[in-house]
Amino acid sequence: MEKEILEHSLNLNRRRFLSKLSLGIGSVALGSLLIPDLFSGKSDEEMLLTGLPQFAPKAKRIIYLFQNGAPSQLDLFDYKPKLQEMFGQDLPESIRKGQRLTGMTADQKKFPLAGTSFKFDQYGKSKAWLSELLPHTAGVVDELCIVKSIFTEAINHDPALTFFQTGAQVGNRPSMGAWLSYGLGSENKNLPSFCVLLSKGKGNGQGVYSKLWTNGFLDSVHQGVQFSSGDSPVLYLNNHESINKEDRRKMLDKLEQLNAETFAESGDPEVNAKVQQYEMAYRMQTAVPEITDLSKEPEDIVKLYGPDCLIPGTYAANCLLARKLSENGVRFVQLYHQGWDAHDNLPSQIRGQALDTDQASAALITDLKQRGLLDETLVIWGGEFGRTNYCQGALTKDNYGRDHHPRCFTIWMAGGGVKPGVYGETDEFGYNVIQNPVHVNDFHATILHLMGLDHEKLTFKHLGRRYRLTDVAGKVVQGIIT
Amino acid sequence: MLRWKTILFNTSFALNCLLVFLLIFEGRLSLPLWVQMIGRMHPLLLHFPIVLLVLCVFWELLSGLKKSFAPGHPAIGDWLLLLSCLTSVVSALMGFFLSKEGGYTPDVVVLHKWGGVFISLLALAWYAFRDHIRRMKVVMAVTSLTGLVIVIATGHLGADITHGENFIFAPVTADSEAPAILLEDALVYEHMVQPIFNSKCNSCHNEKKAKGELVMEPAVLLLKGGKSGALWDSTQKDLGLMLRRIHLPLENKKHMPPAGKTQLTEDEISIIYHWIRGGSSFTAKVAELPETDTLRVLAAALFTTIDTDNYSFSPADDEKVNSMRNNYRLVSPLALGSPALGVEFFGASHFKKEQLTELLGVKEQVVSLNLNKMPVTDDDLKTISQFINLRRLNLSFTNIRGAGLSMLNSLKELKQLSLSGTGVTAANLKLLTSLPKLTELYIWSTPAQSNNLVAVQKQLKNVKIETGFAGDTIIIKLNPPLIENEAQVLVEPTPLKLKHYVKGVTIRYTIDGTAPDSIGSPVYKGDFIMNRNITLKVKAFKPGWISSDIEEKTFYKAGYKIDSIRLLQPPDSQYRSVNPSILTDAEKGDLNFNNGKWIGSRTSLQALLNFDTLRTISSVTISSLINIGGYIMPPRQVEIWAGSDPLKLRLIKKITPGQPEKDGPAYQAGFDLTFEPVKEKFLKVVVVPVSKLPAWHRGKNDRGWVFVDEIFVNP
Repeated sequence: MEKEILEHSLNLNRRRFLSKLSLGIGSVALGSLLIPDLFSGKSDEEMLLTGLPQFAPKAKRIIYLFQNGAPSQLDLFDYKPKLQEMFGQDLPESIRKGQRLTGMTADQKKFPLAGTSFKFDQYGKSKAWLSELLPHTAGVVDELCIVKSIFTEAINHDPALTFFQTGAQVGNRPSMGAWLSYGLGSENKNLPSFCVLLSKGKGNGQGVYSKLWTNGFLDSVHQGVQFSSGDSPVLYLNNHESINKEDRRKMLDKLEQLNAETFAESGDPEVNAKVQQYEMAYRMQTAVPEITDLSKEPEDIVKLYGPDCLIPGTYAANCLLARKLSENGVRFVQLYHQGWDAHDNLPSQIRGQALDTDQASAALITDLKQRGLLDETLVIWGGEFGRTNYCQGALTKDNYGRDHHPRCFTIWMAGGGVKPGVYGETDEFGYNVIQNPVHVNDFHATILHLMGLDHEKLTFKHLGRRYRLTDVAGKVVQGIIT
Repeated sequence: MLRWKTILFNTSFALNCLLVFLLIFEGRLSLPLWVQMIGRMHPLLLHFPIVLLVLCVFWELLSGLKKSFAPGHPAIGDWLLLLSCLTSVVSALMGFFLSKEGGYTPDVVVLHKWGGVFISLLALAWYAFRDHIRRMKVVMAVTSLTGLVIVIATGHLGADITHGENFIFAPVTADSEAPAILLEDALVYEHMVQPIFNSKCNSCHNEKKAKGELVMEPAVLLLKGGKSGALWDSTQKDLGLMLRRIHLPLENKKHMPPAGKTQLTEDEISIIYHWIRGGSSFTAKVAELPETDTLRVLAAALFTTIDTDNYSFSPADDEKVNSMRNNYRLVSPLALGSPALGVEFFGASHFKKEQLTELLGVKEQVVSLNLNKMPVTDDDLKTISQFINLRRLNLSFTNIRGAGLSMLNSLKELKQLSLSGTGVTAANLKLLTSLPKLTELYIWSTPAQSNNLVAVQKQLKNVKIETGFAGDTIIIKLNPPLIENEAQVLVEPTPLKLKHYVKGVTIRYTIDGTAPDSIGSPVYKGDFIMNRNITLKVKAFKPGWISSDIEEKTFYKAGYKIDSIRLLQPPDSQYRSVNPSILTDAEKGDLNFNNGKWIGSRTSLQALLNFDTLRTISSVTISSLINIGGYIMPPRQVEIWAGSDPLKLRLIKKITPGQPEKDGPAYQAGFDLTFEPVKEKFLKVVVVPVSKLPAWHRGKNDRGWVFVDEIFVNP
């Protein structure tokens, strides 16, 4: 009898268990209606990504004029008469405070201060000091937010450049443009959202390499697309000589049918992704030549950017191309101009570099402005670190060289939500920041902020932890935002 | 009765499952509007579980302690428990939905949420195991009391969320919560500095405690300072006592605030520092500080400013927006959750008028419309005029001629209008009569750009009219022509190829080393053939431009073909892999001495040249590189030896080129050695570098280098 009672109660329990279980499952099913993407297999990060800014952005697009090799802030922006007064005297240890040096000047017994050999003057509403090397920049100074207090951690080109572009000194992280493409998607579906343009000055150059525009651990669609200056600006984009546009279309249509069959069989979403990429490449075949053709630019534009802008591969041409790409909805256009690494013969080298870049950089701002695009486009100009206030090698009255200096340097930004004026200050030796320091991480945080993204929320999970462009640091610099 | 009990219990159970499930996937939830409505009924229902649970606690405790308390009514306890259970879970779910609306203090909401969830699960468990619990008095006591405490705590947190913190005691305690201050109204001392003192200093330095005889409020007493004197002195480098104390290490006894008390943040220290440094004014306004002032910058994070754009319209249907998006038309919200839409068109060849009219489906929501370079005409302005909430309109480089501009007057919100590159004239602009919010107007590259705009500006008083860059009055320098002939060694007659990218340029050239001028020098027409040693100079001319700098290049006519060459002395180790035949391959190197086209030596470069037949030779040219900064100087000495037997050669010519006197850019140089014609089979070339760099050079006393890329032997 006991056995029967036990069995009976077990049966009862089983029945109750099953009925409760069904209730539980039912309610879960109900709840799942509120979670549209529950079974899409996407990660939390991807769910947060809607391709929309997280809050109202100040800028929609960025053009970054990277001055590769580190321009001397002391000969362009950061005017220090004290260095001229103390010309040739040793840099006081109280200022240097044991700053590590590169292998190039670490053995120097003396650090003779080298005042600039160029004339400075004040320009614009903010009375910003600019050197005579930048007459065109002086003409647009009222649009510029000149940050004199930016600093970095790296002291050699590769790590510093990598730090600026990817937020880390080691080269395995996604580049800034890739993060923005990942966070905001592209505007124009017929062009890549991240484009790279290279040019070379006559000064001592440092390399640029594709790791600077890498997608890192992000999906490869976010990688920067390098435009080259020849007949085929985007490699492998043009049809083979023997194929015309109609044939290509037919081929793609047939291919799409085959892919559709494969997709019906396997259900693999990568198949569709691939079809999308083929279609985009096809559309780019029309869109890219339209943009890269500079021959139809009116004479006004040629005079504005300078006649070099028609010669493919020059900085001026790249600035003009950057405007055209940006105007056509490319989210991030990255320029690199080499040749700023003046360890010796700085006066003659920087003169050439300024001649190559000054007019076109200023022209880009004027050009965006006259089209009503400047307020939604952020233009950034700057190198990877600064240069020392003391001379590398022999110092003479009109010739000197400067080594790498990470503790302070100058960059400028214009347009897209930045406040014109001068921000931050360095000491009278131009060696340390004394007001409003801006770390590279802060710079990144600010740029993402201007684009409507919270740098702490734009993350990607990789190798077991979440990464950000600013990784674990960075603070938005409120002082330069309108 | 039992049936109802089962139904209610099952419902509660199911709802609890739902609650737990939603909590797990909280981050990915997307709530439809009707669920929000349910959420908002949370305050309506939440009082039921509170009352019912308190009743339960008392009922269960009393009836458990004293059986006689509830004779004949055993079911009351069950019903109370069951109803608490149901109302708790419903309230918890509603509260959960409500919390998703946002706008609440996150910390308080989190605690309140977990309190609610706990109560709901506790009630469910209590009911499910009520018979077991009733049997064990300790368990009963623990369950009831925990329930009671959590209910009170959660209820209190809930009240904080709705009514604000400290709602109950607010009337009797001092009013500490000031209303939000606008940056425009804020005072530096009162709204930035004093709040720091209040929160971090005044608890000790007030009139009652006055530690160190310092009282920090009111301002008179603050100025007086304490036992150790005045608090600041802006003439001192560290600005005096207060900041000195603040900056002492935390372990120091005199550090302020003392260890154990809440410390100042970096920003707070910075505010105090800059306030004192700036003259410690008690009346200065934040808005009066220069934009870049550190205090002003720090203030930006503390105060709100008047927000400019609040959209009053409701969002468009998501699916409708999605359906409008295609490869050539981007339609998307300005930001996550914003009702405002931005529209951009790309690819002029794909543009059709219908694509604009289709957008009328969201005409209220579009605030920004970019039609840059699209073939839009004045007719289309009628469609555009219906987007009544437009803030930005970009019609640059469209086919607008301007007559239809009056249509745009219905756009009362329009702030920015770009008409650059269109056909509008000043007269057309006068049609823009009633655009109250317009502040920016772009008319670069239009007929209006060069019109007199005084009348227009008078009518559009608040508008900044941007006319942009006009190149016709500006005269700048042309860039030099490009010499497209790459090979500098002429093996055969070669047409000269010059190019200039600017349209309408005249290129003139000379071949004798003189500077080209705008009158006499030949104009490049593409028909000049180079067939001898030439020093080419070219220059570009165009009316309205300053003529270009001179571009020059030297061309060498190839000499005798040299049948074999070998080096008599090995070159520097870095160049040993370079085949010596590059010296006779008729291919010049560029300025990069590392590209395999140069052979370098620090000792002496000695090459033996051999002809298969006798040759009449009257000159030899050594083409070399000079890069002073890179230690590459002109050779100290160049010698030519000749003979019919390589072991019995005689010196026939020797030169000692001049040395530079200062640093300069790198260049290439040819050294010509001319002599009485000889007829020989063997020739030896010796190029010797300088043995000591000059005293002004940074590598003084080091050996110099020589680099040679080509040797020409001429008849």
